[in-house]
Amino acid sequence: MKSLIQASIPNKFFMICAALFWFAVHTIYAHLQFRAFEESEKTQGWLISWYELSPWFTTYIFLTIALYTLTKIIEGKDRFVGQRIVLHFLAMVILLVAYWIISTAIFFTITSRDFTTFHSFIYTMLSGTIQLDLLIYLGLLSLCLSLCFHDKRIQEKLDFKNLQTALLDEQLKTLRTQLNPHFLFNALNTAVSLIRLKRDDEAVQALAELSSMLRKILEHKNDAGSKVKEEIAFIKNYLCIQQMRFSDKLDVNISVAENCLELEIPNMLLHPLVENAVQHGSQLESNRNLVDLSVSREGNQLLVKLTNKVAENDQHKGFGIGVSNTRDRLAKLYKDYRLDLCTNREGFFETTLAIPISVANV
Amino acid sequence: MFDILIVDDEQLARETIKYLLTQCDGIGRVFEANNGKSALQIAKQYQPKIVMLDIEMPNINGIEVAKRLPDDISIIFITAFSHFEEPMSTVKCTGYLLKPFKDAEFYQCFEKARAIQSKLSQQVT
Repeated sequence: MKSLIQASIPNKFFMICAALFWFAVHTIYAHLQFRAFEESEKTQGWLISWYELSPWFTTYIFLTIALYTLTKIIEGKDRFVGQRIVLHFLAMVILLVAYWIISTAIFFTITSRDFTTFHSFIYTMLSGTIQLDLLIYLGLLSLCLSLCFHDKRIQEKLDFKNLQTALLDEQLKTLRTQLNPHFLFNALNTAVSLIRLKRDDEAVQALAELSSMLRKILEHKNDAGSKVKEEIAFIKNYLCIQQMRFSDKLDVNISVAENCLELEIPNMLLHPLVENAVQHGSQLESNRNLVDLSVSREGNQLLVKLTNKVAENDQHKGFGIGVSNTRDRLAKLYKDYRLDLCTNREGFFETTLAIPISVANV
Repeated sequence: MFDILIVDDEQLARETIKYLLTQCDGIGRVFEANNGKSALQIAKQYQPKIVMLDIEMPNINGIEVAKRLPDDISIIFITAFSHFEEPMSTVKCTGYLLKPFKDAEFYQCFEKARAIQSKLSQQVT
């Protein structure tokens, strides 16, 4: 509650404006009263008029600030119109009664009046000024409401902008999970190296493979699925570039059953697993790493098997972020799936993925 | 004449650096290593004066290799990983190149290393 009140208090600019406004009104009103006294031949100096009127106008400054704070609190939460009207009515009663009591008390103090006449004074005063006070209050309320709605609109615009930034961040994050930025730099370096070595045809091929990969990532809608043949094409693009980099180390064998090519699977599901296999293989000192990928269909399941060599003292400890992201995705997408990563009897690293074939494919 | 050691697990990267070095004068023997362990063995056996060192490598990474090399060797890190800037600052090195780099950047770095080595050899004689 304390923080809500703190957040609803107007800023210094509003407070200074309110003070200056009521000071000006006070001065003009005092001048008008002085002129009226002059015409009715009453003897009261201009300063005395100003001084005696000061309790009513000074208190208006605080009433304006309190009204703005209360309006912001009432309008800050989603409430029914009826609730809001009742709350505004209650606020009006409390604020006006407080205003009348406090300003009269100040007036009595600064003019050294007898407090035994306090009640009768208020009664007499109200019979003359209650309508004016109500009108002023409603005018102030309209002003505070418009300011609140204006603030709300600005806040909404700001929230929308923040949301857009968050969305862009999320898209960038997705892009990064799909394509490792280090791979991108290495791929570009491969093309640059090939151009330097005047192996133009290979450089063209490297850039064409990279373009195909970027096209799939940038033009594919994130929530849409992808055909197995498209996923395999992407993996082939990736492996082709990696083979250009590690021509002395990397062998690739891909076999995909004919009846799997048109099946639809989540977009970019297989690539992180292949990337993981290549990264583990890159730790090999001299042996050639054979990355063997096979995709087949067993009943109502799509079976993906990936084997690769792994160095004894592999520095890529555990499984990369790509694999853990894949596991998270699988858990969200399927009730029944299997993703095993282990070293088999022959010392090869084996990744097995089994996912149900979606209804759309049946 | 300075002997040079190129350490990179990527064959293409080694070939490229070798090619760039052919454009320079005063180059002695050029050795190659595709992992940290071999790099240390070659450095011990042939004592090259300038080492062009990749960071992400099998066995022992480039930062570790740099720590184990003698102080009088000029090291130039060549990497695609900009996040290695901080660990690189813990090792004495002449410079570093982020892949892909421009020819001018490579030669600028290399000339700096060569100037250091010339100064060191003059001090010895």
